Amino acid sequence: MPMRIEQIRLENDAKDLKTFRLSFCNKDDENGFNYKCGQFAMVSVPGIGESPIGIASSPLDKGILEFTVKRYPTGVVTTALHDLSEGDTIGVRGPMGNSFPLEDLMGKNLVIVGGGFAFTTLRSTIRYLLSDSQRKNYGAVTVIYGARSAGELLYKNELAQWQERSDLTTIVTVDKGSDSWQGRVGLVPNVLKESAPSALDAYCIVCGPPIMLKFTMPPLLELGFTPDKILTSLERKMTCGMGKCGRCNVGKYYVCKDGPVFSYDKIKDIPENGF
Amino acid sequence: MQPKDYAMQTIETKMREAIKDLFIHGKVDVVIGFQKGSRPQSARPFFARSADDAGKMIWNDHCSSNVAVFLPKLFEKPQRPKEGFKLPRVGVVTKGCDGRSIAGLVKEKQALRENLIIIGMPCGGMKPPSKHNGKKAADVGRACVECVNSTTSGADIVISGESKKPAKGDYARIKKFESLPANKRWERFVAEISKCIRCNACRQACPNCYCKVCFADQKKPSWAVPGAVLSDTIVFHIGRMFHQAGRCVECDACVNACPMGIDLRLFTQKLAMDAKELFGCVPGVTSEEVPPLQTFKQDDSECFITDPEEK
Amino acid sequence: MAKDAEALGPIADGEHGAVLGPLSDTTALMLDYGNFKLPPKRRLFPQCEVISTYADGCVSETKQRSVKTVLFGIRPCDAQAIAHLDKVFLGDDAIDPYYKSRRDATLVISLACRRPASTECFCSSTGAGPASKAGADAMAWNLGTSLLFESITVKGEAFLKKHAALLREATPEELQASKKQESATLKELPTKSLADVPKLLKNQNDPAIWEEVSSTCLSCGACTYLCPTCHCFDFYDEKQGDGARKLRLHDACMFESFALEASGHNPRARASQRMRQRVMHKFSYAPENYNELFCVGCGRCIIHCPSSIDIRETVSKVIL
Repeated sequence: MPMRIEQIRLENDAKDLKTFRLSFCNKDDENGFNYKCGQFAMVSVPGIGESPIGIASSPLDKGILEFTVKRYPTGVVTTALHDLSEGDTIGVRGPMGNSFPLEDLMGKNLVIVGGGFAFTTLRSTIRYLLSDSQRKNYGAVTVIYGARSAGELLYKNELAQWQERSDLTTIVTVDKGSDSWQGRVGLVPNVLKESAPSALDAYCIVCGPPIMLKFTMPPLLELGFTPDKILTSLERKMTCGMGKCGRCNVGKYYVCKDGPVFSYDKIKDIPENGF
Repeated sequence: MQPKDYAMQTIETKMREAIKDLFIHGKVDVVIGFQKGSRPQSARPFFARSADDAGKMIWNDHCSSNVAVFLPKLFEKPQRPKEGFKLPRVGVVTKGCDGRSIAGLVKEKQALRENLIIIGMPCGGMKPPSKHNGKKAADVGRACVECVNSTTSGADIVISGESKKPAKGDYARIKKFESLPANKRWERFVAEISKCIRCNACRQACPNCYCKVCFADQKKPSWAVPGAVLSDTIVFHIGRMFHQAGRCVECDACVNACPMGIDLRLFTQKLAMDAKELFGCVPGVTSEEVPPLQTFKQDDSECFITDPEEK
Repeated sequence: MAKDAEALGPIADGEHGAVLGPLSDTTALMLDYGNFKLPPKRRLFPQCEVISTYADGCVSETKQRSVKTVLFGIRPCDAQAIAHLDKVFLGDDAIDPYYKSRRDATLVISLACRRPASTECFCSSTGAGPASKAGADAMAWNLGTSLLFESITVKGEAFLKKHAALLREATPEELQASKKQESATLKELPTKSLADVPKLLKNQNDPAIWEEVSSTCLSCGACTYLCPTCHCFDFYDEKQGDGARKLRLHDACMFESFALEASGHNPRARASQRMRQRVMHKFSYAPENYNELFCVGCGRCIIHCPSSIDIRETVSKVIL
């Protein structure tokens, strides 16, 4: 379905991460597009191609969709997207995939751990959890988010707002400090160990590049989170997005259809899980 | 036992002994050669990694694959080499064509000569693999019938035996095809290329095609759709053949690999012939410092620009 | 048959032996053939098709105007493969409209094998067989002097009834002959079943064994493109004038760049990982997801692999 680019926000110093705020060109499409936190869509530029991008807006943000896209030099679609301007039209096919099982997690404490630009669907989740209608349904919410450097942090304004709130704990860290950075310095797995959120009656949602996931799992398990209580979101190159083209599988699961959200116990023994 | 089989057996035994020896004395990490295939009357490439493995290696007239194709990957340095990383020491059992390919790969820095132990075999010509239901399997592949040097020069270990005598090397079939009018040649080219299903077997079997990203797979820009669209398939084959000019050793690895039986040789040989007749280049044989595609001389022929129909 | 539908069947081809080609009054049907080089799946799932076009800000799906087709004389292994592809493309989760329109318009009449097509046939091991019925609407037996037809589906029965004028009731001897033909062919095929393989592959995580079985793999796509059950595909968008179109193309998990991401990360960077993916997909994941082995034992991959890698050997080496 066609969508209009209403706003493009530059997210990082390296200028290769942009958040696109889109509006629906057709009202019918808006009514038909019902998504949940953790889902993705195929974002396309006509004649160029499609790319699976996690939905960064919350389902409660009406009338718009937000996608944060990283531009890769070899990426045909991401490069084309970054060359577009506000007012341009792009295509969106979706929503696709499964979602974070937030209904099942009501009443639980949530620890949300994110690294780099894998934070997009976590941002969708946090916005949803913090909404007036939803906050009371969940227990303590802890967010630990890290990036390589201060300039690479996404959603800086929102992060600052969250740090002001009393109904969640927000810990932002960077791998490498700088003169302008006043906050925490440390790798996400280490910050997780130091802040030691309680695993009692809690679930953890963790998203990040494969290397970060690999080093974050051991401290999570040590803190007492069992594999079935750790949820993650995987990424793979995709084509159809609906489990037919055979490309995005991790073991017998298709990341587009059986995922992208997987509980760690489901995928921890699959050799090609990526971490 | 027929005399030919006995001769082959002795050659095979000598080869196995030589390779066993290399392993026993710790001179190689792996030796690439051939083993018995699972299909009746067949051989297939094999990586021997021990003296015991050496006992499984065979040498007969089914050893048609060009084993040089495995070298670029074996000599690939990882992006972040671990502490103490060393390139492997590789033995290769070679026919004349494999040897010519290796010479080319060494020149193009895709294989390290000091890490290679080339075991030059006597080659009487190889049977192509039998997979084309309609055609009768040839006794000897066309590449072998037309082969001008069937043994490897500069081999480290030479296994003695009778080799095929060199053919005339006159490119008679190509010259005959060249004499046809352009539209007939194009018709034939399209008829052959139309069979292509873009499986890339030709490219992957060719020792010279070692590019990390083939031009046909590039997306920025995209030169050819990866599907079997005729115009794009033609671009793929023309592009691949021209990338072989002055490099192709006429081994028929591509022809043997192609499941559809496309007569690629009719076209690849044209470029090999031009490289020889216009620029005096026979890859893997002449010791020219720089290949013809990468240099020029004042007196280079320009006939293909000015007079395409004539030499 | 050729009057109200496009009829395709085995016709002689100088180069390839027999190909699946158009039948007419003038073409000679080649009943006594081994098997086609290219699998019949290509008629239902073409190598290249335009699935949508973009013009004036609008995306339109290609209208499917499928021609009624009869696929006559394909081998039971290839028909079984079509049944497997039906599970993928016509599954409950999402139906592929392009495949469906061609599939609905196609009648499959397979031709039982009088003998194995090659020394590489192993249909009997995969749950298929020289006279297996899956995927076909009707089956034919070449009994030498007569051609025996048996209906399998309602569609097949309707077809045979329609052409009843050309058929007569089979004699008991003819029915016997077809059974004898099947058992005679089975005697020449392997008896070992691969039904247990999914169970035996489940915990095979040793990277070294996969390195060994893939050491000579060239990462081309010959095995995939010739396989009757392989179904991986890619989309390709290209500009056309002021508009654009989207193509669907066959793809192969054996290609190095199949799962390569724009970031440069490749989850299956090594040939061994891709070989493992191929074998697991056919012998482990598909059985779990579709309750079918995605291999029908046609032997094409064994015959055409440039390095002569034999999937039967690979499977026997990697199972625990």
